[in-house]
Amino acid sequence: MLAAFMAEWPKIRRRSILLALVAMVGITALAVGITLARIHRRSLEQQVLINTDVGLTGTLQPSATLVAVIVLITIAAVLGADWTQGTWRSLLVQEPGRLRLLAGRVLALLLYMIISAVLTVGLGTLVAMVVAPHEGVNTATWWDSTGTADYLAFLGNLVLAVVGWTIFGTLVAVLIRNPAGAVGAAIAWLFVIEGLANQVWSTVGQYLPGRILSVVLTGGQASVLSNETSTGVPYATALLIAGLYAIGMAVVAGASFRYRDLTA
Amino acid sequence: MSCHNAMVTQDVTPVAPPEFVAASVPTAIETHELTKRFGGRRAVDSLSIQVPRGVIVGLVGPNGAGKTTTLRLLLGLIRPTGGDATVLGQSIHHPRAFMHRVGALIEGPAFYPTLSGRTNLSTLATLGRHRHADITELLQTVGLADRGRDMFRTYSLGMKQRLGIAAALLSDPELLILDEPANGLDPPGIIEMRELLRRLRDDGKTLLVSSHLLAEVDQIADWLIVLVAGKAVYCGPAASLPGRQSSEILVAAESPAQLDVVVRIARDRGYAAVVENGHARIAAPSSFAAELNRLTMQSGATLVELHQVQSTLEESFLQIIGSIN
Repeated sequence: MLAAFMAEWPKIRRRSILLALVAMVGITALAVGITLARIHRRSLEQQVLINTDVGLTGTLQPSATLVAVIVLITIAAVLGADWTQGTWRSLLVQEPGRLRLLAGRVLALLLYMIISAVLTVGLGTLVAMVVAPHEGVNTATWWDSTGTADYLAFLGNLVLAVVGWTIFGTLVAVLIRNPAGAVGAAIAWLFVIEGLANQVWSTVGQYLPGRILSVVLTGGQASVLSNETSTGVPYATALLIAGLYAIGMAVVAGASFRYRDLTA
Repeated sequence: MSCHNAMVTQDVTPVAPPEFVAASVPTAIETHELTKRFGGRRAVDSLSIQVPRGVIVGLVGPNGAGKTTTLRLLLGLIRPTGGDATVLGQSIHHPRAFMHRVGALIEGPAFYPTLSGRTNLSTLATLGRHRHADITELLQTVGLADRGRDMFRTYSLGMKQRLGIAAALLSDPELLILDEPANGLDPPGIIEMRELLRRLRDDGKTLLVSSHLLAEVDQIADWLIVLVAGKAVYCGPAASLPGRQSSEILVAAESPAQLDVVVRIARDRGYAAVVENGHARIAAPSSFAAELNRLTMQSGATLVELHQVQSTLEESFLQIIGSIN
């Protein structure tokens, strides 16, 4: 598994994967900058909240959701492409242990995604710190003891969500075996199937993987700068269910990769 | 060493010469009733073959005969529906037990298009725990030393194929499984490939080479496996392939009159003979050549040319396919 992990890094330096990091950083910096620049157009309550200890994480939270989607798309596309390029067979000739190979590769991609997500949030924080004073936002409370704890909890939840989205992306790629199909299926699941399920039968819909990972990402709180309401699933419950989903998805992805014929 | 097949009635049962029959000779590959079904179609059908070590094995057959499926089964990329097989003495159900001793190029070279040839090899070397120091030498061996740093997607088909061969050699394998290795190569490239395969064989490696280029296989293969509709219709020494023994003797004499004498002598001995393009073509075994030469001299004629013409692999192959159809 270590060999598969190490062998993945030169591939991660590919432009297509580095593009994911650029997209994350670009979108986050832009979103944070725009959010703060337009803070005066928001409700009075939000203008007050931005000056409190949850102001920074509230600013970063919407772009964190986009980061999660980019993680899902990148993982699904990268692993799915190995079927269309036929590269799995080249890799399996060198490492016939299928689970070792998949686990090593996914761990390397996961580490890259975590580093990218944390780096993205770090740069988003820098943008916020630069823009906020110009917009008259008080950033002192962002870094008091409560604000710092909230920021660290936000980072921790982001890492957990990235783990969840990576496993989700892996499952979709292994089942669909095609980058475009995998990305399409992942997006369709999140925005169509889960969206419909939530509309039609919200008591069940809120427990679907995408919703649960969103609860984990937000720490169970709706963003202070968002008009969305939090779901009815408590954070601790969401964390438990997300863990079960992660195990279940990993088992299904592993079994599928281990036992299905490689004909590509 | 033998090959069981379901088409022995086709009169293509292999005859193995003594040097290959010795029970003590270890096999590189053995399959027993190996079967692979895709839905209702049997891509590989009760395949039982044995391949000795240290030879070049040509795996030939028409399109859809099951060549690539057989190679995929041997590499553990797909699972058999029935039967079993061993590679270098290990069951194909446990590829980790033997794959570190095997190099393979299956169904065309597959690499990351935006990585260089060298980086592609480097990632595979890391994955397979092979020596990175060998990469430069391997690139030289396959003639890619100057293009190693270029992106794989900029390579021509022949260059991609060469990189695939280099990847297969990364582990300095005992067994090389190559699917259409000459695909896309230009004539000099094909010659280089042929020499490389022979050199590897001479180093004691076993090479299983699937190809539809029968003339190419004819030049390098010591052992042949002929697949038709998923079944092995022949598995044995290349020289013993049915149809190859049915040879002709081609004779040229000093004058047309002397050629007529040659034809008469051959016919007197019961062999069919005709004069064609200034040569006498005699359908006779090679053992008759010496007798023919002696009898011709006794009759006062002088031969200026006498040689045996053996049927090509292509002719034998078509004969086998024809007999099945």
